[in-house]
Amino acid sequence: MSSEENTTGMTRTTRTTTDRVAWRSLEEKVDPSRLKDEACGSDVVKQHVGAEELFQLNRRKFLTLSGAIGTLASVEGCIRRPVENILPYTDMPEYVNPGVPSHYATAVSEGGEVLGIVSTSYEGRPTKLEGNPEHPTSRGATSMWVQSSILDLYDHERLRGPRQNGAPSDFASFDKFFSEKIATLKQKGGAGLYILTQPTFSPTYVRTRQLVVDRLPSSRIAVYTPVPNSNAREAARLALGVPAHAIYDYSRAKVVLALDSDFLGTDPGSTLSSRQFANAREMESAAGSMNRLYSVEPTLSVTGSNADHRLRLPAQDIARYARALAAELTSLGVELGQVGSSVKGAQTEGIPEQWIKSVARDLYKNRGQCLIVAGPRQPVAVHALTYALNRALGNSGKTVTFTEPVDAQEPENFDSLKTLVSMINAGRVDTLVILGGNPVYDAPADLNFAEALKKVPTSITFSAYSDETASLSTWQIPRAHELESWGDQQSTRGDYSVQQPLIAPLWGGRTDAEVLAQIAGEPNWRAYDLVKTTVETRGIKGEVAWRKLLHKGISDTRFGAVLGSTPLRDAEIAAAVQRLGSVAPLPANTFEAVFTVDNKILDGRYANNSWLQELPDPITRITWDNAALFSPTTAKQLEIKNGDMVRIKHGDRAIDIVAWLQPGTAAQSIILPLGWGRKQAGTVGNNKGFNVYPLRTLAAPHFISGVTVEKLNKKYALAQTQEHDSMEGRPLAIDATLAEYKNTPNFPEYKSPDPHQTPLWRMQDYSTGEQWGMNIDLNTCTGCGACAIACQAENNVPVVGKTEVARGREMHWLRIDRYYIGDDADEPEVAFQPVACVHCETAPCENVCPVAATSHSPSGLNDQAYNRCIGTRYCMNNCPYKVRRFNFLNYNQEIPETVQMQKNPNVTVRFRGVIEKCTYCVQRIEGARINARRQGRTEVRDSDVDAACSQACASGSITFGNLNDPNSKVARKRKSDRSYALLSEIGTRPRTRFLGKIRNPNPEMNTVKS
Amino acid sequence: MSADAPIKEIGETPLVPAHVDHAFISNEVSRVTEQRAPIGWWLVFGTALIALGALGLSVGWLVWNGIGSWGNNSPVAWAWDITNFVWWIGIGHAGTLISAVLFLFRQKWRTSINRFSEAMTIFAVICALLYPTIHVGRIWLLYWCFPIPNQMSMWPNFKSPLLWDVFAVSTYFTVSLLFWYVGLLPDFATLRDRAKDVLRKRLYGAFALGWRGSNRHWRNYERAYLILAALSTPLVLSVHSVVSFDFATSVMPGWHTTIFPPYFVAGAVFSGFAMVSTLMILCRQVYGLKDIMTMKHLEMMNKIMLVTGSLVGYAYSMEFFIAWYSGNEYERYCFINRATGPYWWAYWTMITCNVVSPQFFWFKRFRTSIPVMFALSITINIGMWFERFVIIVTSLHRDYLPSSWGSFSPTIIDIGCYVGSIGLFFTLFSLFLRWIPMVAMFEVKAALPGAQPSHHGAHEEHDSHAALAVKEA
Amino acid sequence: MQIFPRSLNYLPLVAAVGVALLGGGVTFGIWYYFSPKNTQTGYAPEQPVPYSHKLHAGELGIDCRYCHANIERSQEAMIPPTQACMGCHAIVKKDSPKLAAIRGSWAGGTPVEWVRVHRVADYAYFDHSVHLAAGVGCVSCHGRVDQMDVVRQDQPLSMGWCLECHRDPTPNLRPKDQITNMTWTPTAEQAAQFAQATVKGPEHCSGCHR
Repeated sequence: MSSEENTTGMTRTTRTTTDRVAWRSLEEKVDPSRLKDEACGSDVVKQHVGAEELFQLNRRKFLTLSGAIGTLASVEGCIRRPVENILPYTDMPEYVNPGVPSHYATAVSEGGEVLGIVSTSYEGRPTKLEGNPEHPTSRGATSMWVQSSILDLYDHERLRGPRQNGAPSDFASFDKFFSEKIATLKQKGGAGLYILTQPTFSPTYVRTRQLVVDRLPSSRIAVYTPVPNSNAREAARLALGVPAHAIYDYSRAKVVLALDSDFLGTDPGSTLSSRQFANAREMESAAGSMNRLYSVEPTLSVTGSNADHRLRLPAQDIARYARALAAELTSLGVELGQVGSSVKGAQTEGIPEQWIKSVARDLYKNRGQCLIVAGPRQPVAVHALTYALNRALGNSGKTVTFTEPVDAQEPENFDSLKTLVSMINAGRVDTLVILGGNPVYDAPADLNFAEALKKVPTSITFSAYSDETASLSTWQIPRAHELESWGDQQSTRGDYSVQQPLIAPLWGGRTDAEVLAQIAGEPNWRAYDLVKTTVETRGIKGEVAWRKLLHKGISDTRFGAVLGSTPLRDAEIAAAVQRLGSVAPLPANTFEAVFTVDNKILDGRYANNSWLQELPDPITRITWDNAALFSPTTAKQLEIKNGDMVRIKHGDRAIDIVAWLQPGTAAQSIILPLGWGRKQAGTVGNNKGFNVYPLRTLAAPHFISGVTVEKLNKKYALAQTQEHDSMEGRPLAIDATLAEYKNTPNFPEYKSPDPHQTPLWRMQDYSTGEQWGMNIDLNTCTGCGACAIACQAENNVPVVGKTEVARGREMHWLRIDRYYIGDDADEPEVAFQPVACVHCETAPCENVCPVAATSHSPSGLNDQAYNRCIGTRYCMNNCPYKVRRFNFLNYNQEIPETVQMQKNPNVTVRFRGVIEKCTYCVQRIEGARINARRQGRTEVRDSDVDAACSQACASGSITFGNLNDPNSKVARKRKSDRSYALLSEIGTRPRTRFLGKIRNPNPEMNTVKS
Repeated sequence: MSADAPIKEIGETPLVPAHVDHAFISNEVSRVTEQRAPIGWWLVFGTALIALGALGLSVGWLVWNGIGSWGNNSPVAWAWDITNFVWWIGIGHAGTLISAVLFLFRQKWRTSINRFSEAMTIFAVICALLYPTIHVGRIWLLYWCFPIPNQMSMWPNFKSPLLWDVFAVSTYFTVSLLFWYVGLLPDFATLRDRAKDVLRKRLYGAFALGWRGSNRHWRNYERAYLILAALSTPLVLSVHSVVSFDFATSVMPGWHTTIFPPYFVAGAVFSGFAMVSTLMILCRQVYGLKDIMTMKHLEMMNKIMLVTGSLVGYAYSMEFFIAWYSGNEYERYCFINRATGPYWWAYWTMITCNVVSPQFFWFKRFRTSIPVMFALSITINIGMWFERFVIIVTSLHRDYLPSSWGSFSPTIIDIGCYVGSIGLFFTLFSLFLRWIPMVAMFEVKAALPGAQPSHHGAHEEHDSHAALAVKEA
Repeated sequence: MQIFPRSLNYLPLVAAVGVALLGGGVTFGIWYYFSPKNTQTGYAPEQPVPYSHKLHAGELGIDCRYCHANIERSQEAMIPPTQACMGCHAIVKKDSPKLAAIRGSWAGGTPVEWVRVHRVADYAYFDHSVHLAAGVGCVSCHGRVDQMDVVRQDQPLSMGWCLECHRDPTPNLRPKDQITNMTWTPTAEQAAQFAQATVKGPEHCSGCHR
């Protein structure tokens, strides 16, 4: 009741004291607000008098009445909700606008490639990373690792300050110690100083390292990372005479042959590869053409699961296959020169003939627009051979080219670590500075790095965590996260970006360049100065250019020369291929162990990232664990079942690990994903899965043959998010071959027809205003899982942990269904289908909610009001797509303060007992709508809003937007003849529609079987 | 009731033996509430109390910790909670059927079991109501289900079958309670009149609402009773039909079925009668009321179980037929999965208990053997629980998208909540046996050979009692 | 034998009616008196600084947006930084004891701990800028702030209250240039013109709840 009313009420009463006053409401009789004051101890008497005058009742009645209300009011008025304070800035920064996010361009180096990104920050608190559309390696897309790196930034278990011999110390005393140490080392020209670093893309880093080399000439640098791309690099060195990056352009390749390569998954630069691959695969209409992918690999990788033809071969036989293929190509008239002679007489046992003849013919037919790519696991010679083949097939300059790397001095990975260890053992290392990495955990087992490290008098480890390595060092110093420090990165293509800190280092921390500069004795060793100098030395001079570089996130000019025209050194390649020799096929009942980089946590660096831990593996759908993968037939022979513990032995080395039957695994290969079984990763990563590094030696870091398997009679429970692999013949993830597509362009709708009957009730009119919708193109979706993590980051989706996942309570709003097609358990065709709430126009969930907590918005969204939900779970039952998630327990309890900082302020963090689900990122939609209104626009433009999943998707499979805008991406894609609605026969009229998948098998190869 | 119709049961044999007269009935029935409770009673009551404690703990933990304390998950978002709800509601059916429908059909043999089954109904419905209450994620907001004006200007969603449930079940509860209480008035009066000490007099007197069995009382009483009977008859059908809508109106294969309402009602009556005869046989033994709850009664009930059991069996087969006939692959799979999938054992338990076991009642030997019928009544109760489990869990655990198929396994809290509810039921029921006449004395009297089934007869009868009481005082 | 007094004969009736009334009464009471209309409006906590809107906005006639800057661009209420106060009070009234807290904050760089007065219900994402853009004046929700020495909550800020305006904003619409004017009243033709206005607040859940 407004203040005016009160006053009038009261004045009226004072005016007429004698005659009865009629009142409209109780407040007018006794003004509660005043009673509140009274109860809060303001003048009591006046109140009573005024009131008694007001209505001529006997005092007793009045007192009871006012008393009643009085107490009520007082209870409410005084102790209202807990008093909240608002703390404004004292001196507000110029560009800060509270409540309005700001965006910064920066870059991250992730698994062998640099990605340009743009961050979203609220009051200086980064909450989300997106790809930088200006940056050629990301083109606005991101990988799951970039998406989850924001969680790593806020990880409360990071190293929180320097530690000396395990005891907390501080930077002051470290710097004192460090400078003295360096001083003493300087006198010996750096003798006894060893620096162990990781492969880098940072020019500043290279520059500062050069300073060290120049000023402490006797110091030595080692470079090590457990799963390097060094074979490709060494091959380039071998083939070109200079170190180089091989750059592939999948968008121009009609035929791609992947030799144990996972270029759509874990290989470096998969984000860009996926985008390019999708471009070549996308089908506008049945008239169009698409690429064809052959994959030869021991394990079913993301790439292999997207292949049109897939051959299971042990990793060691890939070389044989490559040679056989090369031989076949020469016989087709491809000019290989000396290399040609080196591949003669290749052993083809166990390789189907058509896989040599037809594939060769297909490649030959597509000279100049095909591509052969080998994976990091394969030996240098295989890579060199592929370079030769690509050139011979006329692909150089078209689908393949070479660029000069940032770090030309990078030594061979394993050799350099080996030298380091031998130096230590020889007692020649006095001071060891480790910049990142975790060799104690992931160095080849036979090097026994842990023992070696203990021998080093002074070891200084710069690490994000107090991990296996850091905890064994004399000093452990926090290493700054890429997102909180100045730095620079140059992509393999030569695009130069400056990294700007999105937030002040949470726990202090130094960058590698800073440390090197300190060692080199640079007066201005702060990262900012170092980067600024580098930028100037690279000819980007002046404040304007500097700010432009920061703003755009990428330099105008490219660095790193393109070496396309450099001739290949056939002699060396031929020699290498000769040296490779003809590997004998594995004898029966012997196995090879293949060490694969994990699909989620890579070499173990992301072990403490709960998002990635809980994300189901794209292929196995296992969460929170790894497992030794066996081919189902092999497992049957060995009488191994899912969840059996097995002991895998090689010589005197052995590991115990849980076994898992993985369709598509080569019969004699046992796949061992690296990166698990950490002991000092943090509470999230510790003791998850099984550590397979102990089986890995210098001699064979990628695969070893002759391992033996012993079944232990122990079981181990794994948590899968999808337990059923077959579609049961239902039209769900609908696919067809190219030929079938050309015959029946609308094959998906033909298989899953729309019931064109109208509902019993009058339909809402969706013809006007914004009508949101989504398309998911199954043809280009690789199933990588970046969308799922992007969704998790954007929508504060909680992590529930292994036991809850095992109970079937994972909370992912966007899940990727993975189905196997075909009856041969060893040769599955794979279909991926991302499923989130499809926003049915006639949603079954809406009718059944007793409290109307889920209802439809005028723009076609299926809204979920968390704060209205009472949790009957009826909607969850009645959802045919099973995309509604229920907070069975309070999954958001006790989130560490720093992790809370990551939460999106525009999305409610859900309490236990409520249902949640995909909202089409309604916070973004509403944000865009409000923005439009602010600018006086009534409509939201297609470019204004995008869903987190579609924004992250590298292959552009997910399109989101306004269906009523004929020019929007989504509306155009909707017109495709491959568009169909999932479970359309129920008549739910989903707003998310799928586009049928097309397979492009080689007509010559009647079957995909090996 | 017509005054002149001879009180004969089917088969022309009197419903109660010859030696039974008014006084006998009053004594036989009243003594239960007047004498010390037999050891059997204490056993039942004690055990029930313990189970009730378990319920308290389980529910407490559930509310404190969240629905996650149960085994429910995605896709099985409803499991034991709603299974138990439907089971209890079903059991709560016999009461109204016996009291109202049989009353309207002038089935005299109902007289000695109606009180009993009504009581059972009320307690069963109380147990049933427990589950919709505790199965919600945020129980403290449950009042949003009721159309109460509020500052959010939000109303419940009247389209939701769950909301219909709220109204249907609460209505049913209210009416059953009234029906029961009205029926109790004369007997409370009798107890009051027989009472020795003042406390009993006052208590029963208070509940008797000053019943004196006057002419007017009887006329009003019979009218009221008739009206309530008429009112609750449609409820017999409505309640369980509405409960079945929870499933029938959904789009889930195995739920989306038009046969559900009649099928559920038949099943409800089935389980209801099973529970009644379980309890009856127990009390009959414990309190030796063989002459009042005669074999005749039990046999009649067994016949009804045979009929309803076969009805349910028909429904099962019809579901399968329709699933096949519809040609809907999801529907088909759902039913094949029920019989052959991971939960095949639940399905076949259901078939054995509900369809096969009642068939024994074709034979008089079994129909009239106490052990057999007791065993069978228990079996049927179990079977009916499994029916609900099969409908809910096996339909949910494998629905449209194989990717999200899952399975369900109960937790200790699930078990606690279920066993506990049985405890609650038997606690209430044993209290009822102890303090309230378990047989409608005056109705049985009305069913005596030669009794005047009109209020006059009963009237005099009661006056005589009153007089007696006065003398004693 | 009479064990109950005659007067008890009406007890059942009275009890029945009593229970019914009580139930209804409690429902009504809770709905009416526990609604924000009674519990929230009139909340006027004491602030760390005795800042008077009546003086600044009323008598001095400083525009709301002078201190609450950016409010047209952000969802936030934009409680001004100490800086904003010092803008004037570095010169004006620079040693007034009332401003001690401000000076302290400015010197020490510690924020002034203002007590929140207006609080929209939890889980409602209210955005100031869009309401201003739609032409809803400050006074519609905050009342005559220019007459308040101590700011008090003037409106219930309850969901029902929000919906009233979202369903029919017309009475609260005004020309964009009059947004901060506390005394503006529409002329006849303006009223007519706003009656035609198509602007309308969202009524679906996600309009406010995300």
